Amino acid sequence: MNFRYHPTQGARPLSLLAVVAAMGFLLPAQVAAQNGSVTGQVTAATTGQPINGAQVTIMDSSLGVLSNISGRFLVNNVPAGTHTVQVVYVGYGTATQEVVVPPGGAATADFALEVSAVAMDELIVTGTAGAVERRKLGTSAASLNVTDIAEVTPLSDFSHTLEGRIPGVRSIGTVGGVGAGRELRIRGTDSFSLSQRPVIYIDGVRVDSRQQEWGSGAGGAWFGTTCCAFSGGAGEDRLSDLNPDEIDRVEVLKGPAASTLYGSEASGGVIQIFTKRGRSNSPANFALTVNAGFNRHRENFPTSLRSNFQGPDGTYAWDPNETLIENGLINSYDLTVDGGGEAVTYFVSGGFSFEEGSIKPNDQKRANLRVNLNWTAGENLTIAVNSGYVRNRIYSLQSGNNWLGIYTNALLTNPLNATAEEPYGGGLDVNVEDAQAINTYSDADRWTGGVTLNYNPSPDFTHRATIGLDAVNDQKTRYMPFGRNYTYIGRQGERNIGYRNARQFTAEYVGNLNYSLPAWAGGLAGNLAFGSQGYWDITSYSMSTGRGFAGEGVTTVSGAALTLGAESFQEDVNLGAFVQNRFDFNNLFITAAVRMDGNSAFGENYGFQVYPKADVAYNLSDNMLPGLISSAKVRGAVGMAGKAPGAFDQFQTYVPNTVLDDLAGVRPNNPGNDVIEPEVKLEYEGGLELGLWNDRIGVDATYWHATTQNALLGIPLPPSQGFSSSKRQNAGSILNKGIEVAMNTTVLDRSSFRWSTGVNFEWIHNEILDLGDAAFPDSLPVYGADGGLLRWDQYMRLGGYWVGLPIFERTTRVITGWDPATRRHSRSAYNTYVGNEQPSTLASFSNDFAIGQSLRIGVQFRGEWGAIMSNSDRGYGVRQLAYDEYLELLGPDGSATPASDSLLDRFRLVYPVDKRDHIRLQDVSINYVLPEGMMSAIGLGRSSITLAGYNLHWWDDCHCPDPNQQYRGGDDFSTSPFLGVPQPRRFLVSFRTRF
Amino acid sequence: MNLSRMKGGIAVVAAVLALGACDELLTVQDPGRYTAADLDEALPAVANGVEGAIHEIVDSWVNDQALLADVYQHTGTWSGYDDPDHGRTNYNNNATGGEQNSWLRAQWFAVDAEERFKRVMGDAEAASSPLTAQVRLGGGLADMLLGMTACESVGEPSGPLMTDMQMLAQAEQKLGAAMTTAQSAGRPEYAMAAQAARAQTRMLQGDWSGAVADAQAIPAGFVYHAVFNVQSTNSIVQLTTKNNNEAAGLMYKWWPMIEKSDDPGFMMDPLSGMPDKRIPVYFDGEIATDNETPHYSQWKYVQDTDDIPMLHSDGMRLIVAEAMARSGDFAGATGILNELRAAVGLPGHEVPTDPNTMAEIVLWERFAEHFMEGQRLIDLRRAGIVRQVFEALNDPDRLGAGRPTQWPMTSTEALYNPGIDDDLTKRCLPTA
Repeated sequence: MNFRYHPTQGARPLSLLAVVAAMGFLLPAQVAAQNGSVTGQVTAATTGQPINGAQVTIMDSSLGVLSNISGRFLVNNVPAGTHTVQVVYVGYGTATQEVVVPPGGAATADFALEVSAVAMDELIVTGTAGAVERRKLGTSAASLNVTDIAEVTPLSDFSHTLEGRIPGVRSIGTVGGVGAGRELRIRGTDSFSLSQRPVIYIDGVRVDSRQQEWGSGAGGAWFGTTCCAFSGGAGEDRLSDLNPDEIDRVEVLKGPAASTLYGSEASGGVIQIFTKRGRSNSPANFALTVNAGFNRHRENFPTSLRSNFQGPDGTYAWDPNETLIENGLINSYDLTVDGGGEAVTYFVSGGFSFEEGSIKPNDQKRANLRVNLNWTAGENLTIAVNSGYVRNRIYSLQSGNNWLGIYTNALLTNPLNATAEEPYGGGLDVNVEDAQAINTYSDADRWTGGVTLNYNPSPDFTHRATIGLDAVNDQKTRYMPFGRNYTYIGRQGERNIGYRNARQFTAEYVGNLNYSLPAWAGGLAGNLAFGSQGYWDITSYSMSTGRGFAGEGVTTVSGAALTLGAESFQEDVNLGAFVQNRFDFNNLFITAAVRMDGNSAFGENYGFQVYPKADVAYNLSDNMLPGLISSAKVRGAVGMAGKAPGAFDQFQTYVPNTVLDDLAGVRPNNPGNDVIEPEVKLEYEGGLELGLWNDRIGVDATYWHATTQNALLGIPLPPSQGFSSSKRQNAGSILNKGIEVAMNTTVLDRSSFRWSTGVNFEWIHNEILDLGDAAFPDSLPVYGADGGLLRWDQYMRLGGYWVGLPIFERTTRVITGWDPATRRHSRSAYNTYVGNEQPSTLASFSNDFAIGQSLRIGVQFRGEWGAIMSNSDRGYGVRQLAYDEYLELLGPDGSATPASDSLLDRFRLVYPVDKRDHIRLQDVSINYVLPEGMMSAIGLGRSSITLAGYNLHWWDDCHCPDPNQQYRGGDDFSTSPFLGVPQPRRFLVSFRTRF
Repeated sequence: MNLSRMKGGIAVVAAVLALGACDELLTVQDPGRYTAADLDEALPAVANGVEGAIHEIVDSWVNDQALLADVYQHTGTWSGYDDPDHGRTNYNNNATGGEQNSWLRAQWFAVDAEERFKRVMGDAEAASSPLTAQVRLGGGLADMLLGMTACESVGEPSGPLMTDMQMLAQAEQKLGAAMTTAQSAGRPEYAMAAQAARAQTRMLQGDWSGAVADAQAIPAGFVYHAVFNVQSTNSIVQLTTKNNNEAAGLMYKWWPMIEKSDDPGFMMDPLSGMPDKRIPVYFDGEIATDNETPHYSQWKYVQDTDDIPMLHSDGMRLIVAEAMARSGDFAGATGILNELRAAVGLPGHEVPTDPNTMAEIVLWERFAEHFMEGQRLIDLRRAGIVRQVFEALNDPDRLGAGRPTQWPMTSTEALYNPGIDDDLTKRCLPTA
């Protein structure tokens, strides 16, 4: 077998395009007619306020527009005659009117929308092959109107947008550095070894969303960098490239029941981001948003007693709560303009943001530029061109599992060692001042763009084709200055510079045919969709290191005495085709689909993978409902989706290495698996969507049950078999199941006061069902509170996993006794199961108060329960004689006491296990709309000022600064807090205006 | 032809082209790795890989051996060092698991490489090839180190269990074959290394006459190092520094023999009170990462590319001396030991009159000559004095009774080798 890299190979994109073309995309035909227009205004019935962004559609045609900031709309090219106009806007009931359009003239239709907590007519695009009303969906697809949220709550980044807003989606801050990785996971953990992050699309283009460190360890190579992680493990989150001000809405497919049409990458869910677009026949609308504020950590680091202790020279130790925490400034400016004429609409956005972390040095400078154009090229053809560019420069915080961590070296020091030169006590590995002198940058250029062609030869036969590219050029640099002392390299200095170039090409074609069968066949209506989708990912990494400078002044790799370099490469190609049919029986909608995928990561001898799905939605008619219930939909769905193996898992390989006196050597590396298959996840779900009290209360409840089959597990070979990497095999089965409930209502709706509230609740259960034939019986001891052995529980085991326990099971040794004679603890010889590191219950509670026409107050709480953590930081802090828990047991002169010795002995033997349960005050915002007269006098339109706080407070019992701390961000299989800096609080003043 | 027919034709052609291109579409390549077939063109790299795989893990082994013996104590906060220092080693926290795994893989790779050489070169050429000699040496060293480290292991891919003595016997056989091949290939350095290693395996099996015969064949000045380079660095230098969480320094029992100084120095020779240049150490008065323990550094390895002596002529002379001591020739033994001492400027010992004193002298001189070479734990075990040495410390954190005297086998092999009972409670763990 030969699989050498041929950089000149260039046929692939053309081939992908050929596949797209082959699916039947046809050029438009020109049709002319005598047309008129429809115009009007959309307002809220209670308040009379105009509604911006309402979807206005001429039924039975492909014509539609969005209302503008004044609620006004104009639909041109409407064929003369009688038409039904429909207006849909989330949070309000759907309204329709019949109009008669005169030839060459205009019909008027104004709409006053009533508040509604049910949105059955909302259009969902993602995962449905075409835009489909929610009432016809048998799945629990979720959508967020980001434009609306941002009106009240300044959004810091894309992940913040999702935080606590959709049951089943866990988007949380885990690392406190600006721009650092966050956790984004949908419906639990469905894989032993593949990424947990859902696949992300922007306007139909698949994008890079990684958040893990790549500066060291990527591709299995250390790249010659000194030790460990480049900046602590979390790395920079590529989702932080996105400017929330460019986002219009987000759709989320939570699992295979909904995401089947995305095939071999979708078992972890799909998130599609839709950026803003211009509106036709609309003058230029400018919008300016200015944010200013600061980040600041809670002063709850476990070191508040340190300043009571003196070092040998009489210096009182510094408490990081007082000396490390600073205000990290935030400034951002976003200017957008949208509008359009008859044929062309545009949205142009430019933004710049600067944000500092609360522990410095750490900041992020980001500039975004987006141009979205829509061209109605003919009566049946529209072309959308999307282009987004970002430059995102992050001065990364040294934190986490990292001997250069600033937080690490400030906290884990003995205050009794404080000196005037090293007032923290000397640092764990390096002096804090030396750690702060390191320059660590990620500097990314990114372009994401695509072209979408919609060709609608008739309203009932439509075609959509998209091609796109997401290109990320990320440069990482780190410089440890000459003359400062760093463990491993001493005072000689080191420079690292690396590049990650990622390209993701997407090509997609979807055809939709609405049909009605002849009367003799029952007159059944339906929709047939078909299409294909391909992506091609290539990522290359390189890193060079220079170590040992002669002195200050030179900072380049080539200026160092020792230079090292490494590179690695990944490539993944997927090609799929699908067909879907939906039958519409009045209120009953039945959909069935199948997708077939080939993927370069499948084993050479495996072949293609087929993913079927089916769903049903039934909308109960009014006469079937009791008075309390105003609308009801029952739905059910079953579907499959997959996750492809790692790009090169199938190949048996040998890795080159340098041995002996700098000679070329090789060693066995990956044993390979030429029959490796994708993980396949089968999910079924059932749900009920209710509107109560005239749709004033909306309830959406879902039970889902997902089984991952053929889960990929790295099964170690016996070392005597030679290969060092585990053999990636389809070995296991994983169960995830859960309940999701979303309830929202407008409790009060008066012209002077409106109170809307929402509750999201989620319960989730994760369990390993099977580990395949390679698993072996084993047992875990269970100890009582007194340390006595209660019993042995029998399990099947493989690697670090146990059948019957969750993937994130935590086992550890426990304290089993105390000997008063020797004053020593004893610990169990074996690990015992102590809990799950992922929460089983999540909830959020949000409120939106509108007082008068001008004031809105938003408050959101969220909570998590059921997770534990091996609190390594707590144990570590005590072992380092550094944390309050130990210091408070010392004698008045700082001498050890029996109690402090006992604690020390205990934590030297075992790490404590603590609960992550907590409730968090996530968002508070106060939004005031400035008087219209005052603003118009200075030439401005609707303007508002918002005071907002984010991540303000949390209540927990975790013996830690933040129960959500996870030093690597959390999307992978690490849940360890391990000295990851907690999320800071965030305070903002935001001014938004239009003109 | 009308327009719609033409469009249909184009679509069909495009579809055919696309399907035809699928094979290419779904084929990817990893330019950073070799395939098995590639290695047929890279035989020297294969041989170097086998030998290098033995070397690059010796640093970790030396650390771990020092921690479980009385050479090192943990001065950081990493449990991976804390446990062996305090004698809490078992199958779940076997510090040498990684080292054993590496040597087992090297063992496999040596066999695989030899078969590759035969296939590519032909049996005759391979039999006298320097590359064959190199991989046979590598395979023998892997077996020797496994036998020196673990109480049991396996000697072939997914093979059955072998005791440490069986493993050493297999090493002896492989090393003998390596000697023969190296001599016929005209590579005396491999032959000498193989013979020195065989001397050691014979000594450890109690075959003193065989060990002496081999040891005496090794000329003065011979050293076979575990070689480190800028990619595979000697981790002793970095990991056991005072400001690392994996820090380890010399055990407190040696502190009285080390003077505080701003400059590196040497441990005092207990006989003469003079600095012993075989034991470079450094204590500048600073405490280690655990914020309380004074950190006494080894100073034998200073640069992270410093090599570690695995076999050397002085070690061979110690084998000869010990053999003499065991046979009652105290004068002969002392004479050799005193020559080694004289080479570093130390006065000689009086010839002892009792075996215990003779054994203590041999033990000390081996400590000095093999300082930070991984031999101390083996010496204490061979002498049967692990418990005695640790009980003498009267240290509740380092009890003598029950302290492991040898490492258990790697749990990875035990768990995933179908030929081994995966009940780890049935695996050996010798204790004092």
